[in-house]
Amino acid sequence: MTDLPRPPRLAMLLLRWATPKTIREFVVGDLVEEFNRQARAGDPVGAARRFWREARSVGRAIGSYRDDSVPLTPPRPLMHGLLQDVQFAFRLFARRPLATAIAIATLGLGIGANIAIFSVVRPILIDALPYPNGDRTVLLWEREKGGSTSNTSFSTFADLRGQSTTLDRKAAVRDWSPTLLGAGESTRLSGQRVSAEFLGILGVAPALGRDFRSEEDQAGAARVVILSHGLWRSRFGADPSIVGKTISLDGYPNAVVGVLGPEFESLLDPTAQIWSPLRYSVTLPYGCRTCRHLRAIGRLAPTATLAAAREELDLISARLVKTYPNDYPSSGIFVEPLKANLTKATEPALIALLGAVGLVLLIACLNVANLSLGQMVQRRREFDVRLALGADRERVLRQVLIESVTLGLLGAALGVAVASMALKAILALVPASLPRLGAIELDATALGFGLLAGVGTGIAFGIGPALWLTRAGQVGIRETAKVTAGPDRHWLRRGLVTGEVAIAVLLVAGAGLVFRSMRHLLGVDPGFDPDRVLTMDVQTAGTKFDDDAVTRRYFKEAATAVALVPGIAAVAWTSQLPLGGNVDGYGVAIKSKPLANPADNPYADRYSVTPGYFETMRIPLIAGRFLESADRDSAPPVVVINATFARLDFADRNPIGEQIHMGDPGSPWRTIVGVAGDVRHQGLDQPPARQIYIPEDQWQFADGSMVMVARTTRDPTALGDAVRSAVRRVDPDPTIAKLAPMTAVIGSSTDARRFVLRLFQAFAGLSLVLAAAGIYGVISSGVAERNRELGIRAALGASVGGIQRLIVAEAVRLGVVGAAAGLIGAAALSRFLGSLLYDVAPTDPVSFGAAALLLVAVAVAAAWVPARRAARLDPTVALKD
Amino acid sequence: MSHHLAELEQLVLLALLRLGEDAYGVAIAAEIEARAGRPASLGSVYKTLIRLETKRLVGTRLGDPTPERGGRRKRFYHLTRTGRVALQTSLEAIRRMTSGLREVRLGEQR
Repeated sequence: MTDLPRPPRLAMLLLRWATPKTIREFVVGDLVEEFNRQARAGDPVGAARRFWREARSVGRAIGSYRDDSVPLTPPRPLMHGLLQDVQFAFRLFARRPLATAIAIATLGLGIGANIAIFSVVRPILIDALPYPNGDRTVLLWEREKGGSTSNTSFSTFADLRGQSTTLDRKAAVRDWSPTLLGAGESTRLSGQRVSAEFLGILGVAPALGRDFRSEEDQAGAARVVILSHGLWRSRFGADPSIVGKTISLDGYPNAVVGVLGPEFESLLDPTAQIWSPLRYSVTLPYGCRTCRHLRAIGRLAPTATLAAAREELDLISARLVKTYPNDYPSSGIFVEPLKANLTKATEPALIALLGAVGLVLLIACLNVANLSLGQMVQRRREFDVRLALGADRERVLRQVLIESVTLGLLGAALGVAVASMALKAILALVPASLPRLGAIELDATALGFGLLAGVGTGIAFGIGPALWLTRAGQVGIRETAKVTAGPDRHWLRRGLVTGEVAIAVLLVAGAGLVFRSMRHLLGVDPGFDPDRVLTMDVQTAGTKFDDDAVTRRYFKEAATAVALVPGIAAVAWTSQLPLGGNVDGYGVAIKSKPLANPADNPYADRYSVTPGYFETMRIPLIAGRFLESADRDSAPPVVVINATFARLDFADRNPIGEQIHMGDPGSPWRTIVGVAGDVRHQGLDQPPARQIYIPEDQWQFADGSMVMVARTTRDPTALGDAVRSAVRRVDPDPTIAKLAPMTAVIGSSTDARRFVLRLFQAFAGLSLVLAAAGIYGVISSGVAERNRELGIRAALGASVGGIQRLIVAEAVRLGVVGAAAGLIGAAALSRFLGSLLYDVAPTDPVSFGAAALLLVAVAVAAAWVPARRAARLDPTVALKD
Repeated sequence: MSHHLAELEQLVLLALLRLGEDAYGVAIAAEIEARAGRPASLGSVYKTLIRLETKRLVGTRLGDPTPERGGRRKRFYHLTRTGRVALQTSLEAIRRMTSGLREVRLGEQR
């Protein structure tokens, strides 16, 4: 045998080079067999010549095949192979029902949460505004000293309207809450008074009837209204002949000229149901240059840019400041795209939520990658054989990826179901202040997003294992057994689990920060005692209340009636409720500290209150006296200021006896008789501003809308009905808009935060479960693979506790390394929580420490079962394996 | 899906039918040379086999490694159902095209 001639070596090299790996063995085998036959038959030279010839033919035919850069195995008709691969994937899933179910559930939760959050975020952050001219609509604000912005006045608006050319249409808007009188109970509506061009700027036209005409927007013009689709349906039975009919608002007849379509979203005031022309003129008292209570919007002219509009309006503003130096605190008009205005308040929170929910999906992916990596080990032999048998690498890679993408899509399908449930829960929680609430739905875009997430996650968690598997093709089949337990896979799986732990720590720490912020916030002293206080918004309606004396008498009588209700200890009225969401500020001048420019006067919250307000709310007295019933109409005008006002403006002297006036320079000087404690007004997280309390009798007009506060001797909610009917008995006309315990008012002032907190908690909880599952999986399969080693240890006398400690220590290592990485990530990312945090540092050690400890504890708990299994191993059995 | 077979593809498929269980690279080339009387290099035969396998017209089965082959295994080829249909269709087309022509005449077909 040894002297048998061998095929020419050079030809052999050529042959090997020319043939693709998949068929090399067989081609070479064929030629070698022929060569041997001929050589043994006594013709070694002919055999060699033939070998050469055939090798060259193979080189030409197959080698050129390759050089044509046609794939060695050109793709089969795509769908055909795809279908087969998918079928194969399903067969595979059926063989491992439990693991597949876990993977699909994990992905379903992750993808579902993402679809839900995406659906919430999309209308606000991603979608265009639902107006034809939405992207050209801008808001105009006056600039305050220090860069803040304020509403504008009608006089200023009229100048801007006349002079600006970059904005081709402009409108002023103010809030309006008319009371609808008619058959049955009167209702307080939420609406807007707008310039006639308002709807035209947005590019919207009424579905029924017509838009406002400019002559209807003149002072003294006949009153006309446009109804929202919702109001038209709910109050007017969708009456198709409503246009032209007259409805009674606040006792005045108003002709309905139009009804908006159901698709119209009122973004400037989401609650608005009714619109009426502004009907202002610059000569009206409230049309004055400093009467800044209007919002101005405009439409960019087709040729104008935002920058050009800014430049032009700043120029106009500079001219106005020059002409009326005493009416403007600062020069400049702030031009803000409507979309930016709507998103800026919620954007940071929504982006934090998007980030958090993305991390949840990442954990889900890591978990499934881990799971499938565990399975791949068992399948590695299968793939090694397939590769060795000539399956090409891309083919195998494709198969594995199709498996994981199929799994991802199944997860996405479950995710859609999860999302529809989650969205219901989210919508129940979502704060009313979130813009475009009505546009949140699970629509085709959300489903498309789910599909994309399914494919994306499939690739994300499939690519690692797939590459790892096909790399195995270079390893011989016989070596496979060794490789399965090899270090590289452990490194990979541990890495994945460490990543899961890190992300879970990140999310738990984030949830902790938000949670502690909420705790701190709810711990803030609002400045009054909210327990057992019932609040009620009452708005007078009807022409008879045009007389201030009637209004004042009505509120007095209503208070007397409520005081008689059993369980009511004290009653008072205030023009606005702390944390109730109102803003009613006036410029304040101090007689002893006159400012050169009255426009620089600081703003103060105005509370017109009836006697007993401080006592009912339990606002502490710091100096002087409270307001009394003797401070009536005819008595000298007095006020009580808050501690912040005293600190800011009377640091050097006693404020008692000083005189101030509010608003209009012609208004009377009022003497400060007392200093009360600060009250949180705008929000628990907003530091108190200057606050002024005025006897309701002494304010220049009677507020038509007041909030009652009543201290009760028992649960205030139980007294609601009795209080309501007592007020109704005094006069059935005024509307009771809101009846709620003060604690609920405070609660709803923190709605937005609570919403984010709940979601963060849900994400953190989900991430904990997923991380625990990941740790369990890797430790448990680690134990299974180390049976032999553990058996030897046991045989050599390792104690049960020792082996348990060994396993648990491994889990602790995973936990500690992951937690460390997670904390670094948290420190880097937590500042993005920004305004969600209150009185908590972004690197709050309590939140961070608790998150890290929690994850290490979870790691130990997850390792407990495998550790016990390891400790109970019978050495004889383990060693036999 | 219809497959248009090239001449060599037809010949290879026919060789597979003739060789039955023994159809492997060299044997197929030899069969074509012997019966069709035209040269068929191993390279072109393998190239055709790869193409036919890609189209799923032929399937393969692995033989045992033998010392004569230097411990390498043999790869046997056989027609798949699709292959059989494709061959049938292709031959049928030739039969129809030649039917009635005097210049060329096929032997008795079925």
